[in-house]
Amino acid sequence: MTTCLEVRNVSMRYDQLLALSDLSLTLNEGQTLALVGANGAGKSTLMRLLCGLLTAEKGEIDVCQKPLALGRPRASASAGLALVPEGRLLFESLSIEENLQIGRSQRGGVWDLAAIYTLFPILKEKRKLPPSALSGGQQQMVAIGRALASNPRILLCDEISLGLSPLVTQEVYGVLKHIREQGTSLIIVDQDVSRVTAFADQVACMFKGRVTLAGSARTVTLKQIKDSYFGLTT
Amino acid sequence: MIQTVAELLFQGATLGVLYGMIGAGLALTFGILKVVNLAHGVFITIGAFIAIWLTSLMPTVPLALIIVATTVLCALLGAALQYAVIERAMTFRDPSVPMMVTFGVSVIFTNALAQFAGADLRSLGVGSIAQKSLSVGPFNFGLFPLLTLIFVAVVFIAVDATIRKTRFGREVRALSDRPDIAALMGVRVRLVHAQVAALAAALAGVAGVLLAMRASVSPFSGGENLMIAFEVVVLGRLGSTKGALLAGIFLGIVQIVSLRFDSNAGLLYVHLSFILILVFWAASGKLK
Amino acid sequence: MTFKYANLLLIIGFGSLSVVSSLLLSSGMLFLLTEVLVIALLAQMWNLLAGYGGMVSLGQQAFVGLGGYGLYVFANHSGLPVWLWIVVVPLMVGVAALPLGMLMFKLKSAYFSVGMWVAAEILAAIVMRTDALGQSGGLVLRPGGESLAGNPERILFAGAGLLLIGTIVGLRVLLNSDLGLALLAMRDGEEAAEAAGVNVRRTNLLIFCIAAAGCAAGGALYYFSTLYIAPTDAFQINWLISMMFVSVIGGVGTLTGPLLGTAVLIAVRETCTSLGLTGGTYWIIMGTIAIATLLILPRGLWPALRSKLHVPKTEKEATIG
Repeated sequence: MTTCLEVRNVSMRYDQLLALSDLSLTLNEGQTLALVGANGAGKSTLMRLLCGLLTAEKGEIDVCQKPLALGRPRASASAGLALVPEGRLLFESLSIEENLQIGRSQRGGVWDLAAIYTLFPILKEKRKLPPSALSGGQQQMVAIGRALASNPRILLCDEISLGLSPLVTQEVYGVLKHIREQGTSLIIVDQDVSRVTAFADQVACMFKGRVTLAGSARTVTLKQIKDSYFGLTT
Repeated sequence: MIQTVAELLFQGATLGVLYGMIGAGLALTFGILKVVNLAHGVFITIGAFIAIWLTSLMPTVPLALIIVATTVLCALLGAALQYAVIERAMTFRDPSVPMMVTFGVSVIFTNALAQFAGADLRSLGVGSIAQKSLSVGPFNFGLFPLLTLIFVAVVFIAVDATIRKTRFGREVRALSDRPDIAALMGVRVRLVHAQVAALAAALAGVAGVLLAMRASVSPFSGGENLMIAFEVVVLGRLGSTKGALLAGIFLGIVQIVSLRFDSNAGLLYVHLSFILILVFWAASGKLK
Repeated sequence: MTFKYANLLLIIGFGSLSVVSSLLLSSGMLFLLTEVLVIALLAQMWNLLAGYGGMVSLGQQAFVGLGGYGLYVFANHSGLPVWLWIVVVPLMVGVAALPLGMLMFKLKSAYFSVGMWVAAEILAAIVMRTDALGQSGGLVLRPGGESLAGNPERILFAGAGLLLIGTIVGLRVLLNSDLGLALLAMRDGEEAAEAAGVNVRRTNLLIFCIAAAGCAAGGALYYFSTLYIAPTDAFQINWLISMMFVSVIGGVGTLTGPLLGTAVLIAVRETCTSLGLTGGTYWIIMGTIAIATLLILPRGLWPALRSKLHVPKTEKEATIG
């Protein structure tokens, strides 16, 4: 199995505050990583770093064995990283269809507009409407579709179930399963630790800007995760 | 009587659509770049003077070609300015930095233009078409203003369609909504910024040429034009091209009518009506 | 040395310097230096508004013109001494600025900036069309209807020097008071400041009126020294350009910055004059320096210089950028 993402000794700070401290992480191709940890552990910072919205103080990131230029969103996008951001952050002045079109990249792949509409039939129905006309769950679908349109190698999903009902969350995970089956790697951040670890192949637990626990989702126990979550392990 | 009123309204409208065009450019940069480009007014004078200069260089070249060349030159200048100067000023968190930078640019351009072209009032001759007119019943409309009106309408429709329909327009709107997410989606931020700046400068430049055909301009007209553009943006409720057009027409009519009754009024009544509307809006709680 | 003594020393030192030099220098030199002091004063006022208050006004030239015209009108038509009006007129302008401020604050950030410019244009146009103000021809200073006797430039220069140093010390005191604290809090975020009990609107209005009065004082002093005033001169945008460039170059949000910026302005202007360059070239050079400063050192020359020279920070600074 080949690695598709390797983060090596990355540190970054906001002004004085150390947000990531000497963090390392690997992800294999086609695998799904559950990224868990308390608020402020650095999960979102890592996601934003990966997609180029932030830059690191030191350390390197390789995508498919190729070094990634940090702090450049377009470099991340063309390396095949796409983000489903926390809070969706759709473009309100664009229709649903335009939201899906904007992410369309030069990289070819299976995810053209038709494929996205097959995955989310409801969006095809509402394609002319603005995002504000949709429910929270449907908006999350647009956010996922928008990221998929760039045919990513690695799909980054930040706080994927935040604000969604259990039923909708289940639906979202069903969609993610389908995406995984197409060979796309996933990194998922979710407060619902048991659900996301049950879904994932690998788990990484973050505490104060570093990974304190990493392993296969099948061998890591919920007890271990909980200890790590509260900083009881080092 | 009714003829006079109709003619005044017509003149006001043909001037006003030019104001609307200037305002639309300013609204575009403000809406998308979030920068109040105080150098916007200078592009109007630069456009006018480029056209005057080109016609004096090549008197036989048709006016339409001169307008096209001027538009292209203004667009290039706008893009270059955005790319080389304003983009860097935008990296500072404080929005007053780019505003002061563009103010500095306008001072430099104004004085450079005055050095290059002289500080005198100049205007652009349009030839025999200036005398031609069209009679509709009892009303008499100048052919040239009529052509201006049609031209501006076409420009507005084209700009509107570009923003609403094209890939460029999609990227522009996305960037205006959420710049960082748009960058994630692969939008070339600096390129789109430069394109928007070019479009705004082109609109201002064309309006400048058309203004110079109606009345005279001096290198120091940039400030006046900037204020008009700003008033159009405020009255037209930022961002909508239709609003800019209507606000422009309103101010144009105010201008023409006030000049009819008081020939040295300059822009006094335009400014006054703007302030009065502002006071009225403030009193009725329409401004938050 | 305590803050109080430092202020006292500043006033005595700088004040006596301006008084002594007013007695020694030639009247041509004094005229030039009075203008320099006026520009420094105006820049302080613009900087108070923009740097500390966060309100970038493009219409401060209106208050310069009002100060000048106010002085001429009241001095020419009342029997009271012109020196009294030079004090009273700025105060009157400060009060008159209140309703304007209340309206203009309805406009946010950039809208405020250009709105002020429009207001200044309206004022200039009205003055230019008013018979009693000499329309575009302007007015001659004739206090009580008679020509001015003696040479006022010595007193004017000393007065301008004292006013400038008084203003700087006054601003130092102001910025160290609760008001200064409120201003700095507002620069960090108006909502947060409001939540902390700062009355944002009232503080802004106060600053606006102080700046208006200060600009009017500058205008009154300057046009006293010229003995003639015309609307195209008194309300010209160049007053504003000078204020802004000087503040930006020296350092917006510092008290020393505008002084340093004025020094740069004088150096550039005198160099241009001695090289026989036109006024246009002078503005192009100043504009280039201002833009370069904004892009390279957005906080201005003084904060950069201060840390280079290891001068301790003795004044409240507001950051931009």
